[in-house]
Amino acid sequence: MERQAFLDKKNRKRIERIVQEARKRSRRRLWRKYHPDDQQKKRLISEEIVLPQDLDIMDDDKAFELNFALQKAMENSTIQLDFRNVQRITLQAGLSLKAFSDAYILRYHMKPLFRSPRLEKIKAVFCYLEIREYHLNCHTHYKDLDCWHITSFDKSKDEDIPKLLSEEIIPKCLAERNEQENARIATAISETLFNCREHAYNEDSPFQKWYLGYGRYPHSDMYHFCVCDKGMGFRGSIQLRFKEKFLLDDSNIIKEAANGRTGVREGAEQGRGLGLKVAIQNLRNVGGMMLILSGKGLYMAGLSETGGSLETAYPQRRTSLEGSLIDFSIPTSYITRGNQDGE
Amino acid sequence: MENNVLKIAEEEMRKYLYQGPRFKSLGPNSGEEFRDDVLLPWLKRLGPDEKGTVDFAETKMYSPSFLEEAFGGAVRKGFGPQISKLKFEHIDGFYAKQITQYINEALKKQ
Repeated sequence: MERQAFLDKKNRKRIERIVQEARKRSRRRLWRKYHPDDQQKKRLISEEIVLPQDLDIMDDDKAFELNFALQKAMENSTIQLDFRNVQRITLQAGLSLKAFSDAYILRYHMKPLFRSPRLEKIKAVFCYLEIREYHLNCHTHYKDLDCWHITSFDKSKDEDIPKLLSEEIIPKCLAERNEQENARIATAISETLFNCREHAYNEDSPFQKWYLGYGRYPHSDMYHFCVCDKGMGFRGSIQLRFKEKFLLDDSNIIKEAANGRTGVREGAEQGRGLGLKVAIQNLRNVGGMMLILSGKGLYMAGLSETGGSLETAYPQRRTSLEGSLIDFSIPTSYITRGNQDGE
Repeated sequence: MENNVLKIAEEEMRKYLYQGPRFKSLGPNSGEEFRDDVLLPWLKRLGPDEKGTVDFAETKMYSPSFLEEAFGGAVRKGFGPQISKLKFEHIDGFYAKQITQYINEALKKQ
């Protein structure tokens, strides 16, 4: 009798387990029906674009390859991006990828099709950028990625950008610099972030995000802050208000903005076009440099080795960048030389 | 608050220690908000011959857009004579010069 009871109990447990597993399978089938997993997505892949070893936006040729891949993938959701060969990724390229990924999710309601990078380090970058989640070896430590971080902003949210910069981001990244210098760096960056909010997107634009990334490369004595948006770019924003400037090339349009020559006319409820100019002055005061990419334009402003002002509007690039990307390079140590530009 | 000194570090104005964007529509603690809610009412309370002082002590972050909209904007709103007499205390010299420049440019355009 005891043995029979034992067997009944064992059978009952077995039957319960089988029922539970069947339920699980059924739930999984239902889940898959509405949430296609990677295996099912692969069946939809029409084409694969292999990304190069080096993902870099500043180099025109490399930017061209990356841009081509991202544009194609954005146009066609069945294209898979293959990151297996990627060995290096710059902060600017990382931000572009992040913006692409967010815009893709907004458009197709799913993550872009990626073939994961082979290198753990690149996987770590994807995790930092919150593009993908990987179970990384927690004992591995990448010194150069240590302070990589990204913050995204949305036009629909009222964030206190100056407070966020002054209390969280800048002290974390530039701990060893003096307070006055850090305040100037924060001003330069916040002014650029305000410009993104004001000028980058139309009210009816579906995607209204912009990003701030910061980090440091190995063996470099510079910090990098990078602001990136996917909006109308300098040309779109300035031409909207200054029709006569459409003849200028993209680099010279950025130059106009950087020199404060894009202030609005009397009575208009818009900025006075001084934000970028003052941001550059602030950067010069701390020995920094600013590189601006927008459309096919590339413009650089900063401080020369002799301490003078440096500004260059480069010839048009082959690659046209959607929106704008502003890179701030700030030396890890610099003694303020007083106010530059005769300020 | 002394009548002729506007102290940014005072309790009700502490939020402006982190200067925000130009317009209210662009985010909190904007120059437009500071001008309309704080600066202009204070200027109205000042006597016509009284010289006012704006004390920026404890300000953590300056914003050129904020300063232009607050002070240049006050000139555009018809407070030019009082604004041009203002003194600025405990402020980074760079920004003090910027404010003076904004005020002068706004006065020129009037």
